Amino acid sequence: MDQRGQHRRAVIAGLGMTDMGKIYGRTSAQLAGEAIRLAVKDAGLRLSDVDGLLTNTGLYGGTDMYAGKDIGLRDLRLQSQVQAFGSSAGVMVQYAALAVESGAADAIVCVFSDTPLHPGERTGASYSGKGRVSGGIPAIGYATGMRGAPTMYAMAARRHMLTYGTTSQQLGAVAVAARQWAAMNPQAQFRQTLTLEEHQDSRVVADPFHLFDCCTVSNGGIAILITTADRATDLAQPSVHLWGWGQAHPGRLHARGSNFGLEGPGRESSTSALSMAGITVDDIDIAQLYDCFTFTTLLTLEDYGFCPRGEGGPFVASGAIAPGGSLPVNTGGGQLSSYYMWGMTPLSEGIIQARGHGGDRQVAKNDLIAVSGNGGYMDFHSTLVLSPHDPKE
Amino acid sequence: MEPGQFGKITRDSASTEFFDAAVQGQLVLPQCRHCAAWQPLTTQICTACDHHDLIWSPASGRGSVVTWTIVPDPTVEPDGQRVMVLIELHEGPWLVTRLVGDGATDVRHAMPVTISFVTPPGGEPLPLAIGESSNDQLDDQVA
Repeated sequence: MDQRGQHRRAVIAGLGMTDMGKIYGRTSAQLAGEAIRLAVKDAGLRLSDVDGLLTNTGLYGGTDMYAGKDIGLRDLRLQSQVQAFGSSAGVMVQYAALAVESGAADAIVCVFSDTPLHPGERTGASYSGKGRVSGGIPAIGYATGMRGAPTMYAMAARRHMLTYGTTSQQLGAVAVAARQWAAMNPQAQFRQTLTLEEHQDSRVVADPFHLFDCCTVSNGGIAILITTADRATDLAQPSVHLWGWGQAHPGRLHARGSNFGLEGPGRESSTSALSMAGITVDDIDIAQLYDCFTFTTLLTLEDYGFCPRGEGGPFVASGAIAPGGSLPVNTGGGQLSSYYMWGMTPLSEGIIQARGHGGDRQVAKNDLIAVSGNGGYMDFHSTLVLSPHDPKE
Repeated sequence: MEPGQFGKITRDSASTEFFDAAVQGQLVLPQCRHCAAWQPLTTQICTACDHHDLIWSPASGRGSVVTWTIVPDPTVEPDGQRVMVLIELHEGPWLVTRLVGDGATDVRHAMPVTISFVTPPGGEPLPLAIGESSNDQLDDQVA
Protein backbone atom coordinates (compact mmCIF):
# COMPACT_ATOMS: atom_id res chain seq x y z
CA MET A 1 0.00 0.00 0.00
CA ASP A 2 1.23 3.51 -0.75
CA GLN A 3 3.02 4.83 2.34
CA ARG A 4 2.11 8.40 1.50
CA GLY A 5 -1.50 7.71 0.71
CA GLN A 6 -4.61 9.14 2.20
CA HIS A 7 -4.70 6.57 4.97
CA ARG A 8 -1.59 8.10 6.55
CA ARG A 9 -2.97 11.64 6.68
CA ALA A 10 -1.91 13.22 9.97
CA VAL A 11 -4.25 14.42 12.70
CA ILE A 12 -3.82 15.79 16.20
CA ALA A 13 -4.92 13.05 18.59
CA GLY A 14 -3.56 14.11 21.98
CA LEU A 15 -3.13 17.27 24.05
CA GLY A 16 -1.37 17.49 27.41
CA MET A 17 -1.04 20.63 29.52
CA THR A 18 0.72 20.92 32.88
CA ASP A 19 -0.29 23.51 35.45
CA MET A 20 1.01 26.82 34.11
CA GLY A 21 2.10 30.08 35.67
CA LYS A 22 4.09 30.41 38.87
CA ILE A 23 4.91 26.74 38.91
CA TYR A 24 8.14 26.20 40.80
CA GLY A 25 10.16 23.20 41.80
CA ARG A 26 10.19 21.47 38.45
CA THR A 27 12.71 21.75 35.64
CA SER A 28 11.82 22.43 32.05
CA ALA A 29 12.58 18.80 31.22
CA GLN A 30 10.31 17.58 34.02
CA LEU A 31 7.51 19.81 32.76
CA ALA A 32 8.05 18.49 29.25
CA GLY A 33 7.87 14.93 30.56
CA GLU A 34 4.67 15.62 32.43
CA ALA A 35 3.09 17.30 29.40
CA ILE A 36 4.04 14.36 27.20
CA ARG A 37 2.60 11.82 29.63
CA LEU A 38 -0.61 13.86 29.77
CA ALA A 39 -0.82 14.05 25.97
CA VAL A 40 -0.25 10.33 25.57
CA LYS A 41 -2.89 9.56 28.20
CA ASP A 42 -5.26 12.06 26.57
CA ALA A 43 -4.92 10.18 23.31
CA GLY A 44 -5.52 6.84 24.98
CA LEU A 45 -2.05 5.59 24.07
CA ARG A 46 0.97 4.46 26.07
CA LEU A 47 4.37 6.12 26.25
CA SER A 48 5.82 3.14 24.39
CA ASP A 49 3.58 3.98 21.42
CA VAL A 50 5.46 7.23 20.85
CA ASP A 51 8.14 6.85 18.20
CA GLY A 52 8.88 10.50 17.41
CA LEU A 53 9.80 13.54 19.51
CA LEU A 54 10.14 17.21 18.60
CA THR A 55 11.04 19.64 21.37
CA ASN A 56 10.98 23.42 21.48
CA THR A 57 12.83 24.54 24.55
CA GLY A 58 11.73 28.13 24.91
CA LEU A 59 14.02 30.83 26.16
CA TYR A 60 16.00 28.87 28.70
CA GLY A 61 16.73 25.73 26.70
CA GLY A 62 16.19 23.23 29.46
CA THR A 63 15.00 20.28 27.38
CA ASP A 64 17.71 18.95 25.12
CA MET A 65 18.15 15.80 23.01
CA TYR A 66 19.02 13.70 26.08
CA ALA A 67 15.79 14.60 27.84
CA GLY A 68 13.87 12.08 25.74
CA LYS A 69 15.38 9.07 27.48
CA ASP A 70 14.71 10.55 30.92
CA ILE A 71 11.12 11.20 29.95
CA GLY A 72 10.85 7.49 29.16
CA LEU A 73 10.91 7.51 25.37
CA ARG A 74 12.80 4.66 23.74
CA ASP A 75 13.60 3.57 20.21
CA LEU A 76 12.54 6.80 18.61
CA ARG A 77 12.56 6.83 14.82
CA LEU A 78 12.55 10.62 14.73
CA GLN A 79 13.84 13.21 17.16
CA SER A 80 15.14 16.74 17.11
CA GLN A 81 15.00 20.10 18.77
CA VAL A 82 13.13 22.76 16.84
CA GLN A 83 13.80 26.41 17.36
CA ALA A 84 11.76 28.80 15.26
CA PHE A 85 10.96 31.00 18.26
CA GLY A 86 7.29 31.83 18.47
CA SER A 87 6.53 30.09 15.20
CA SER A 88 7.87 26.80 16.60
CA ALA A 89 4.60 25.14 17.60
CA GLY A 90 3.15 25.45 14.11
CA VAL A 91 6.49 24.46 12.61
CA MET A 92 6.71 21.33 14.80
CA VAL A 93 3.19 20.29 13.81
CA GLN A 94 4.04 20.69 10.13
CA TYR A 95 7.18 18.59 10.36
CA ALA A 96 5.43 15.96 12.50
CA ALA A 97 2.57 15.77 10.00
CA LEU A 98 4.96 15.41 7.07
CA ALA A 99 6.89 12.70 8.93
CA VAL A 100 3.77 10.73 9.81
CA GLU A 101 2.45 11.01 6.28
CA SER A 102 5.75 9.78 4.85
CA GLY A 103 5.78 6.75 7.10
CA ALA A 104 8.91 7.86 8.96
CA ALA A 105 7.09 7.58 12.28
CA ASP A 106 3.62 6.72 13.53
CA ALA A 107 3.05 8.74 16.71
CA ILE A 108 5.01 11.93 17.19
CA VAL A 109 4.93 14.15 20.24
CA CYS A 110 5.63 17.88 19.89
CA VAL A 111 6.39 19.57 23.20
CA PHE A 112 7.12 23.07 24.49
CA SER A 113 8.22 23.71 28.05
CA ASP A 114 10.02 26.56 29.76
CA THR A 115 10.85 27.92 33.18
CA PRO A 116 11.35 31.66 32.70
CA LEU A 117 9.95 32.47 36.15
CA HIS A 118 12.18 32.07 39.17
CA PRO A 119 11.03 32.57 42.74
CA GLY A 120 11.84 36.06 43.97
CA GLU A 121 12.46 37.52 40.52
CA ARG A 122 10.22 40.09 38.90
CA THR A 123 8.12 38.63 36.12
CA GLY A 124 9.46 41.21 33.70
CA ALA A 125 13.03 40.13 34.36
CA SER A 126 12.48 36.89 32.51
CA TYR A 127 12.15 38.36 29.05
CA SER A 128 14.48 41.32 29.53
CA GLY A 129 17.00 40.05 27.02
CA LYS A 130 18.93 37.45 28.98
CA GLY A 131 20.47 34.81 26.82
CA ARG A 132 20.72 36.99 23.73
CA VAL A 133 24.00 37.59 21.90
CA SER A 134 26.68 39.47 23.76
CA GLY A 135 29.19 40.04 20.99
CA GLY A 136 29.60 41.83 17.72
CA ILE A 137 27.23 44.12 15.90
CA PRO A 138 24.05 42.20 16.85
CA ALA A 139 24.74 43.11 20.48
CA ILE A 140 24.59 46.87 19.86
CA GLY A 141 20.85 47.10 20.40
CA TYR A 142 20.95 45.30 23.74
CA ALA A 143 24.08 47.13 24.91
CA THR A 144 22.56 50.54 24.20
CA GLY A 145 19.30 49.72 25.97
CA MET A 146 17.07 47.57 23.77
CA ARG A 147 16.19 45.15 26.56
CA GLY A 148 13.97 42.47 25.19
CA ALA A 149 10.83 42.14 23.18
CA PRO A 150 8.70 44.99 24.60
CA THR A 151 11.14 47.62 23.29
CA MET A 152 11.14 46.39 19.70
CA TYR A 153 7.43 45.60 19.57
CA ALA A 154 6.67 49.02 21.06
CA MET A 155 8.69 50.62 18.27
CA ALA A 156 6.76 48.55 15.75
CA ALA A 157 3.45 49.64 17.25
CA ARG A 158 4.57 53.27 17.24
CA ARG A 159 5.35 53.04 13.53
CA HIS A 160 1.90 51.58 12.87
CA MET A 161 0.37 54.44 14.86
CA LEU A 162 2.37 57.03 12.92
CA THR A 163 1.31 55.53 9.61
CA TYR A 164 -2.30 54.49 10.21
CA GLY A 165 -3.43 56.47 13.24
CA THR A 166 -3.79 53.39 15.44
CA THR A 167 -4.33 54.39 19.07
CA SER A 168 -3.43 53.03 22.49
CA GLN A 169 -7.14 52.67 23.23
CA GLN A 170 -7.48 50.38 20.23
CA LEU A 171 -4.63 48.23 21.52
CA GLY A 172 -6.47 48.25 24.84
CA ALA A 173 -9.54 46.79 23.16
CA VAL A 174 -7.45 43.72 22.32
CA ALA A 175 -6.49 43.31 25.97
CA VAL A 176 -10.05 43.80 27.18
CA ALA A 177 -11.40 41.20 24.73
CA ALA A 178 -8.74 38.65 25.66
CA ARG A 179 -9.66 39.02 29.31
CA GLN A 180 -13.33 38.54 28.54
CA TRP A 181 -12.54 35.20 26.95
CA ALA A 182 -10.15 34.27 29.78
CA ALA A 183 -12.93 34.81 32.30
CA MET A 184 -14.55 31.68 30.87
CA ASN A 185 -11.34 29.59 30.90
CA PRO A 186 -10.58 27.73 34.16
CA GLN A 187 -6.94 27.34 33.09
CA ALA A 188 -6.33 31.04 32.49
CA GLN A 189 -3.89 32.83 34.81
CA PHE A 190 -5.87 36.08 34.71
CA ARG A 191 -9.64 35.89 34.74
CA GLN A 192 -10.82 39.05 36.47
CA THR A 193 -12.45 41.70 34.28
CA LEU A 194 -10.15 44.25 32.69
CA THR A 195 -11.65 47.59 31.66
CA LEU A 196 -10.21 49.90 29.05
CA GLU A 197 -9.69 52.48 31.78
CA GLU A 198 -7.63 50.00 33.80
CA HIS A 199 -5.58 49.24 30.69
CA GLN A 200 -4.91 52.94 30.13
CA ASP A 201 -4.09 53.55 33.79
CA SER A 202 -1.67 50.62 34.04
CA ARG A 203 2.01 51.56 34.14
CA VAL A 204 3.88 52.24 30.93
CA VAL A 205 6.32 49.43 30.16
CA ALA A 206 7.68 50.84 26.90
CA ASP A 207 5.67 53.62 25.32
CA PRO A 208 3.08 53.09 23.84
CA PHE A 209 2.75 49.77 25.69
CA HIS A 210 1.10 49.66 29.07
CA LEU A 211 1.39 46.65 31.36
CA PHE A 212 -1.75 45.09 29.90
CA ASP A 213 -0.43 45.34 26.36
CA CYS A 214 2.10 42.66 27.28
CA CYS A 215 1.49 38.94 27.63
CA THR A 216 1.92 37.03 30.83
CA VAL A 217 4.96 34.88 31.57
CA SER A 218 4.52 31.25 32.58
CA ASN A 219 6.38 28.17 33.68
CA GLY A 220 4.84 25.03 32.33
CA GLY A 221 4.63 22.65 29.42
CA ILE A 222 2.25 21.67 26.64
CA ALA A 223 2.55 18.63 24.40
CA ILE A 224 0.50 17.42 21.47
CA LEU A 225 0.49 14.04 19.80
CA ILE A 226 0.17 13.53 16.07
CA THR A 227 -0.66 10.26 14.43
CA THR A 228 -2.50 8.95 11.38
CA ALA A 229 -6.19 9.66 10.86
CA ASP A 230 -6.91 5.94 10.62
CA ARG A 231 -5.28 5.16 13.94
CA ALA A 232 -6.84 8.16 15.61
CA THR A 233 -10.38 7.01 14.89
CA ASP A 234 -9.83 4.28 17.50
CA LEU A 235 -8.34 6.63 20.09
CA ALA A 236 -9.81 8.56 23.00
CA GLN A 237 -10.44 12.04 21.60
CA PRO A 238 -12.18 13.50 18.53
CA SER A 239 -9.49 13.95 15.91
CA VAL A 240 -8.41 17.45 15.07
CA HIS A 241 -7.74 17.54 11.36
CA LEU A 242 -5.07 19.58 9.65
CA TRP A 243 -6.56 21.19 6.58
CA GLY A 244 -3.55 23.31 5.78
CA TRP A 245 -0.26 24.71 6.98
CA GLY A 246 2.25 27.34 5.99
CA GLN A 247 5.29 29.29 7.08
CA ALA A 248 6.86 32.61 6.13
CA HIS A 249 10.27 33.95 7.09
CA PRO A 250 10.83 37.02 4.96
CA GLY A 251 14.40 37.83 6.03
CA ARG A 252 13.36 41.43 6.24
CA LEU A 253 16.25 43.84 5.60
CA HIS A 254 17.04 46.17 8.46
CA ALA A 255 17.17 49.16 6.13
CA ARG A 256 15.23 51.77 4.14
CA GLY A 257 12.14 50.24 2.59
CA SER A 258 11.53 47.80 5.45
CA ASN A 259 7.90 47.15 6.35
CA PHE A 260 8.74 46.57 10.02
CA GLY A 261 5.69 47.43 12.11
CA LEU A 262 3.48 47.92 9.07
CA GLU A 263 3.20 44.40 7.70
CA GLY A 264 4.20 41.02 9.07
CA PRO A 265 4.89 37.66 7.44
CA GLY A 266 1.40 36.49 8.40
CA ARG A 267 0.20 37.49 4.94
CA GLU A 268 2.38 34.99 3.09
CA SER A 269 2.11 32.29 5.77
CA SER A 270 -1.68 32.38 5.92
CA THR A 271 -1.94 32.46 2.14
CA SER A 272 0.01 29.19 1.97
CA ALA A 273 -2.11 27.54 4.64
CA LEU A 274 -5.46 28.73 3.30
CA SER A 275 -4.51 27.72 -0.22
CA MET A 276 -3.55 24.22 0.95
CA ALA A 277 -6.87 24.02 2.77
CA GLY A 278 -8.75 25.15 -0.32
CA ILE A 279 -10.47 27.99 1.56
CA THR A 280 -10.30 31.76 1.97
CA VAL A 281 -9.92 33.85 5.10
CA ASP A 282 -13.67 34.49 5.01
CA ASP A 283 -14.20 30.79 5.71
CA ILE A 284 -12.35 30.96 9.03
CA ASP A 285 -14.70 30.76 12.02
CA ILE A 286 -12.25 31.22 14.87
CA ALA A 287 -8.73 32.73 15.00
CA GLN A 288 -6.20 31.68 17.61
CA LEU A 289 -3.47 34.27 17.19
CA TYR A 290 -0.06 34.54 18.83
CA ASP A 291 -0.54 37.60 21.06
CA CYS A 292 2.72 38.29 22.86
CA PHE A 293 1.54 41.90 22.69
CA THR A 294 -1.82 43.44 21.85
CA PHE A 295 -0.15 44.90 18.77
CA THR A 296 0.78 41.44 17.52
CA THR A 297 -2.88 40.45 17.42
CA LEU A 298 -3.77 43.63 15.58
CA LEU A 299 -1.06 43.26 12.94
CA THR A 300 -1.86 39.58 12.41
CA LEU A 301 -5.54 40.38 11.86
CA GLU A 302 -4.48 42.75 9.09
CA ASP A 303 -1.91 40.32 7.67
CA TYR A 304 -4.40 37.47 7.46
CA GLY A 305 -6.98 39.69 5.79
CA PHE A 306 -9.57 39.61 8.57
CA CYS A 307 -9.67 43.38 8.11
CA PRO A 308 -8.08 45.77 5.61
CA ARG A 309 -4.46 46.84 5.96
CA GLY A 310 -4.14 49.66 8.47
CA GLU A 311 -7.65 49.19 9.84
CA GLY A 312 -6.85 46.75 12.63
CA GLY A 313 -7.44 49.46 15.19
CA PRO A 314 -11.06 50.24 14.32
CA PHE A 315 -11.70 46.54 13.75
CA VAL A 316 -10.69 45.47 17.24
CA ALA A 317 -12.30 48.54 18.81
CA SER A 318 -15.61 47.51 17.25
CA GLY A 319 -15.83 44.47 19.54
CA ALA A 320 -15.52 42.05 16.64
CA ILE A 321 -12.98 39.84 18.41
CA ALA A 322 -14.66 39.77 21.83
CA PRO A 323 -17.25 37.23 23.01
CA GLY A 324 -20.36 37.78 20.90
CA GLY A 325 -18.40 39.42 18.09
CA SER A 326 -18.20 38.44 14.46
CA LEU A 327 -14.73 36.86 14.72
CA PRO A 328 -13.89 35.02 17.96
CA VAL A 329 -10.19 35.57 18.61
CA ASN A 330 -8.10 33.90 21.33
CA THR A 331 -11.07 32.25 22.91
CA GLY A 332 -9.09 31.02 25.92
CA GLY A 333 -7.69 34.44 26.76
CA GLY A 334 -4.55 34.23 24.65
CA GLN A 335 -1.06 34.83 25.89
CA LEU A 336 -2.28 38.14 27.21
CA SER A 337 -4.54 36.58 29.82
CA SER A 338 -4.34 32.77 29.90
CA TYR A 339 -0.79 31.40 29.72
CA TYR A 340 2.41 31.99 27.73
CA MET A 341 3.58 28.76 26.24
CA TRP A 342 4.75 30.43 23.02
CA GLY A 343 2.86 29.02 20.04
CA MET A 344 1.34 26.23 22.11
CA THR A 345 -1.00 28.82 23.62
CA PRO A 346 -3.03 29.52 20.48
CA LEU A 347 -2.57 25.93 19.26
CA SER A 348 -3.88 24.36 22.47
CA GLU A 349 -6.98 26.55 22.42
CA GLY A 350 -7.49 25.78 18.74
CA ILE A 351 -7.45 22.06 19.55
CA ILE A 352 -9.84 22.51 22.47
CA GLN A 353 -12.30 24.48 20.34
CA ALA A 354 -12.04 22.03 17.43
CA ARG A 355 -12.84 19.16 19.79
CA GLY A 356 -15.84 21.00 21.19
CA HIS A 357 -14.28 21.00 24.66
CA GLY A 358 -14.37 24.75 25.29
CA GLY A 359 -17.07 24.57 27.97
CA ASP A 360 -18.48 28.02 28.74
CA ARG A 361 -16.33 29.55 26.04
CA GLN A 362 -17.03 27.01 23.30
CA VAL A 363 -17.79 28.72 20.01
CA ALA A 364 -20.69 26.96 18.32
CA LYS A 365 -19.41 27.36 14.77
CA ASN A 366 -15.98 25.75 14.95
CA ASP A 367 -15.60 24.23 11.50
CA LEU A 368 -12.40 26.05 10.48
CA ILE A 369 -9.89 27.44 12.96
CA ALA A 370 -6.77 29.42 12.05
CA VAL A 371 -3.77 29.21 14.39
CA SER A 372 -0.86 31.63 14.07
CA GLY A 373 2.68 31.45 15.39
CA ASN A 374 4.82 34.59 15.49
CA GLY A 375 8.53 34.62 16.28
CA GLY A 376 11.32 37.13 16.70
CA TYR A 377 10.16 40.66 16.05
CA MET A 378 7.49 39.58 13.58
CA ASP A 379 10.30 37.87 11.65
CA PHE A 380 9.11 34.25 11.66
CA HIS A 381 5.58 33.00 11.12
CA SER A 382 3.64 29.74 10.94
CA THR A 383 -0.02 29.09 10.20
CA LEU A 384 -2.22 26.04 10.72
CA VAL A 385 -5.81 25.49 9.68
CA LEU A 386 -7.56 23.06 12.04
CA SER A 387 -10.98 21.47 11.79
CA PRO A 388 -13.10 18.85 13.53
CA HIS A 389 -13.96 17.58 10.05
CA ASP A 390 -12.05 15.27 7.77
CA PRO A 391 -11.09 17.37 4.73
CA LYS A 392 -11.98 14.56 2.38
CA GLU A 393 -15.59 14.43 3.53
CA MET B 1 24.14 45.44 34.76
CA GLU B 2 21.73 48.24 35.61
CA PRO B 3 19.30 48.88 32.77
CA GLY B 4 20.38 52.48 32.38
CA GLN B 5 24.03 51.66 31.95
CA PHE B 6 25.54 50.71 28.65
CA GLY B 7 26.60 47.14 28.07
CA LYS B 8 30.02 45.83 27.21
CA ILE B 9 30.28 44.33 23.77
CA THR B 10 33.13 42.10 22.72
CA ARG B 11 34.11 42.19 19.07
CA ASP B 12 33.95 39.14 16.83
CA SER B 13 35.42 38.30 13.44
CA ALA B 14 32.59 40.03 11.62
CA SER B 15 32.93 43.31 13.49
CA THR B 16 36.67 43.95 13.73
CA GLU B 17 36.76 46.74 11.17
CA PHE B 18 33.53 48.27 12.46
CA PHE B 19 34.92 48.64 15.97
CA ASP B 20 38.40 49.68 14.75
CA ALA B 21 36.73 52.59 12.97
CA ALA B 22 34.46 53.25 15.95
CA VAL B 23 37.51 53.64 18.20
CA GLN B 24 38.49 56.48 15.86
CA GLY B 25 34.99 57.93 16.14
CA GLN B 26 34.14 56.95 12.57
CA LEU B 27 30.98 55.13 11.57
CA VAL B 28 31.57 52.62 8.79
CA LEU B 29 28.91 50.67 6.95
CA PRO B 30 29.14 47.71 4.57
CA GLN B 31 29.24 48.77 0.95
CA CYS B 32 29.25 46.60 -2.14
CA ARG B 33 32.56 46.79 -4.01
CA HIS B 34 30.76 45.84 -7.23
CA CYS B 35 27.78 48.22 -7.33
CA ALA B 36 28.48 50.63 -4.43
CA ALA B 37 25.12 49.93 -2.73
CA TRP B 38 25.11 50.38 1.06
CA GLN B 39 24.15 47.32 3.09
CA PRO B 40 22.48 46.57 6.42
CA LEU B 41 25.07 46.16 9.14
CA THR B 42 25.03 42.36 9.42
CA THR B 43 24.55 41.28 5.84
CA GLN B 44 27.09 39.03 4.13
CA ILE B 45 26.07 39.66 0.52
CA CYS B 46 25.00 42.67 -1.48
CA THR B 47 21.24 43.06 -1.27
CA ALA B 48 21.17 44.86 -4.62
CA CYS B 49 23.37 42.77 -6.89
CA ASP B 50 24.05 39.52 -5.00
CA HIS B 51 27.82 39.86 -5.17
CA HIS B 52 29.69 38.63 -2.12
CA ASP B 53 32.28 41.39 -1.94
CA LEU B 54 31.57 43.97 0.72
CA ILE B 55 33.88 46.56 2.18
CA TRP B 56 33.45 48.67 5.31
CA SER B 57 33.25 52.26 4.08
CA PRO B 58 33.13 55.57 5.97
CA ALA B 59 29.56 56.82 6.39
CA SER B 60 28.21 60.25 7.15
CA GLY B 61 27.03 59.40 10.64
CA ARG B 62 23.76 61.21 9.95
CA GLY B 63 20.30 59.77 9.99
CA SER B 64 16.73 60.31 11.05
CA VAL B 65 14.27 58.70 13.44
CA VAL B 66 11.90 56.13 11.94
CA THR B 67 10.25 55.13 15.21
CA TRP B 68 10.97 55.09 18.92
CA THR B 69 9.91 54.02 22.37
CA ILE B 70 10.40 55.72 25.72
CA VAL B 71 11.05 53.28 28.56
CA PRO B 72 10.61 54.39 32.18
CA ASP B 73 13.99 53.66 33.77
CA PRO B 74 14.93 55.27 37.09
CA THR B 75 18.62 54.57 36.49
CA VAL B 76 18.77 56.92 33.49
CA GLU B 77 19.79 60.53 34.16
CA PRO B 78 18.35 63.07 34.37
CA ASP B 79 14.67 62.26 34.21
CA GLY B 80 14.39 58.49 34.38
CA GLN B 81 13.42 57.89 30.77
CA ARG B 82 15.39 55.76 28.35
CA VAL B 83 14.70 56.77 24.75
CA MET B 84 15.32 53.98 22.26
CA VAL B 85 15.17 54.84 18.59
CA LEU B 86 15.17 53.05 15.29
CA ILE B 87 17.30 55.22 13.03
CA GLU B 88 17.47 55.26 9.26
CA LEU B 89 21.00 56.25 8.44
CA HIS B 90 21.46 58.63 5.53
CA GLU B 91 22.93 55.80 3.44
CA GLY B 92 19.89 53.57 4.08
CA PRO B 93 20.77 50.96 6.73
CA TRP B 94 18.83 50.92 9.99
CA LEU B 95 20.22 50.98 13.50
CA VAL B 96 18.55 50.51 16.87
CA THR B 97 20.21 52.53 19.59
CA ARG B 98 19.61 54.98 22.41
CA LEU B 99 18.87 58.65 21.80
CA VAL B 100 20.81 60.77 24.24
CA GLY B 101 21.49 64.43 24.85
CA ASP B 102 19.12 67.23 25.71
CA GLY B 103 15.78 67.08 23.99
CA ALA B 104 15.89 63.30 23.71
CA THR B 105 12.47 62.90 25.30
CA ASP B 106 11.08 65.26 22.63
CA VAL B 107 11.85 62.57 20.06
CA ARG B 108 9.64 62.68 17.00
CA HIS B 109 9.32 61.01 13.64
CA ALA B 110 11.97 62.16 11.13
CA MET B 111 14.02 63.92 13.82
CA PRO B 112 17.54 64.36 12.39
CA VAL B 113 20.26 62.67 14.43
CA THR B 114 23.98 62.10 14.31
CA ILE B 115 25.89 59.08 15.55
CA SER B 116 28.46 59.53 18.28
CA PHE B 117 30.44 56.79 19.99
CA VAL B 118 30.76 56.21 23.71
CA THR B 119 32.91 53.48 25.20
CA PRO B 120 31.96 51.66 28.41
CA PRO B 121 35.09 50.65 30.35
CA GLY B 122 36.24 47.28 29.08
CA GLY B 123 33.90 47.27 26.11
CA GLU B 124 33.80 48.32 22.47
CA PRO B 125 32.56 51.76 21.41
CA LEU B 126 28.78 52.00 21.11
CA PRO B 127 27.09 54.13 18.44
CA LEU B 128 24.55 56.39 20.14
CA ALA B 129 22.23 58.88 18.51
CA ILE B 130 22.09 62.58 19.35
CA GLY B 131 19.42 64.93 18.04
CA GLU B 132 21.00 67.46 15.68
CA SER B 133 19.47 70.26 17.65
CA SER B 134 21.00 68.96 20.88
CA ASN B 135 23.72 71.10 22.40
CA ASP B 136 25.29 68.19 24.25
CA GLN B 137 28.73 66.88 23.46
CA LEU B 138 29.11 63.32 24.61
CA ASP B 139 32.01 62.34 26.79
CA ASP B 140 33.68 59.44 25.03
CA GLN B 141 34.11 57.52 28.25
CA VAL B 142 31.05 56.80 30.32
CA ALA B 143 30.66 54.76 33.46
